[in-house]
Amino acid sequence: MSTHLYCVLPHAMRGSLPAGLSGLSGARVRALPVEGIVAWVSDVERELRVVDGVRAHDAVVEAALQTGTTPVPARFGQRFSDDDACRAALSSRASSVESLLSTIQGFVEMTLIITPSTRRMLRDLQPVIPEILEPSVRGAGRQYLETLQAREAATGAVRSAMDKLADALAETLEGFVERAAVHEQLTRLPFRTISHLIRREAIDDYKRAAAGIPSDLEFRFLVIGPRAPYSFCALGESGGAHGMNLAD
Amino acid sequence: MTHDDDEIDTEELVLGDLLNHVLDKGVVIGGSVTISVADVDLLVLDLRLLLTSIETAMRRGVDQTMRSMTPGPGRT
Repeated sequence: MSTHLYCVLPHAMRGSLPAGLSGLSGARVRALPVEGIVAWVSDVERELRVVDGVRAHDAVVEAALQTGTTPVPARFGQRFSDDDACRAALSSRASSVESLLSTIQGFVEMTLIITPSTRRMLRDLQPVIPEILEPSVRGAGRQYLETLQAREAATGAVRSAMDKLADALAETLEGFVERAAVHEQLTRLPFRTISHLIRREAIDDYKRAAAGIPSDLEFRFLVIGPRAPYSFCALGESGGAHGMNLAD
Repeated sequence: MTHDDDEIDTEELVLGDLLNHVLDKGVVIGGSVTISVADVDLLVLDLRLLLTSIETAMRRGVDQTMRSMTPGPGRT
C-alpha cells in the first residue's frame, strides 16, 4: 500500500474536501496538510489500471476544481511509499508549489484539439501509412523510405490546412488567453492540441467564441474543459508539462 | 464542430486527450503500472504507444510502424 497524490490546494482549503469523495479503486480521499498547502491523497494498491485510474484521478482533481479554488494537479502516477514520504516531497518544494498555486488562482485550462475528419483521414492518410515490411525481402529498405516520403507529403498538406484553422482559432480567442501551450505530438499523425489558461469567468464566452469559428467537413476542432491547469503546472526542473511531478 | 461520421471517434479523442494530459508517461514507460489494453484498442496511435505492451505490439506485427513513430529522447 502506498500514497497516491491527486492535487494540492492552498492551506485555507483544508476543510473543503467533499465528504465521501473516493479516488482510485474507491479509496477514500484524505486531506494531508503540509506547511502552507494541503494535498489530496488516498491509499493505493501497488498495481494500477491506467484508463480507469486516470479517470478516477481526474475526477478527484475535478472535485477540487469545483470547490472554486484552482488546484495544482499532480500527474497520474505520483505515488509515495507513505504519507510521510509524500509530505516530505511536498515540503521540499513547498515554496514553489505555493507560488504556483497563487499564480493559477482564478484560472482554468481549456483545450482545443484540431483534427482532420475521419473522411479526410481515410482519404489522405490511410493509403500511405507504411505497410509492415519484411526486412529480408530485396528492396524492402527503399520501399520503406518511399512509403515514409509519401506519408510525409500527405501529412504536410493536412498540416497546412490545419494551420489555417489554428490561426483562426488563435486570432478569435486571443483576448481570453493568459497563457498558451501547444502540445508536442508523439507521432506524425496530424493532430494538434493547444491548451489555454483562461479566467474562470470567461469560460462561457470562450466556448461561444470558439463555437462561432467556422470549420468544414474535412477538419474539426473539439473544445475540452474547463479543467485543472495540467499544462501549466510544471515545477521548475522537474520537467514535463502535464501537471506537477514530484515522485520518481 | 462535429459531423455525423465523426461521432464515434469524438469520445476516443476526449479520452485520448485526458490520458495525454493526466498520465505520467515516465511511469508508464517504466512499466510500474499495469497496462490495460482492452479498453483502448481504438485509440489513436500515439496513445497505443503508451498503452500497448511490447508483447502485444509484436504479436500484432506493428512493431516496425510503431518504431518509426517512437519519440526521440527528451520528448514528453
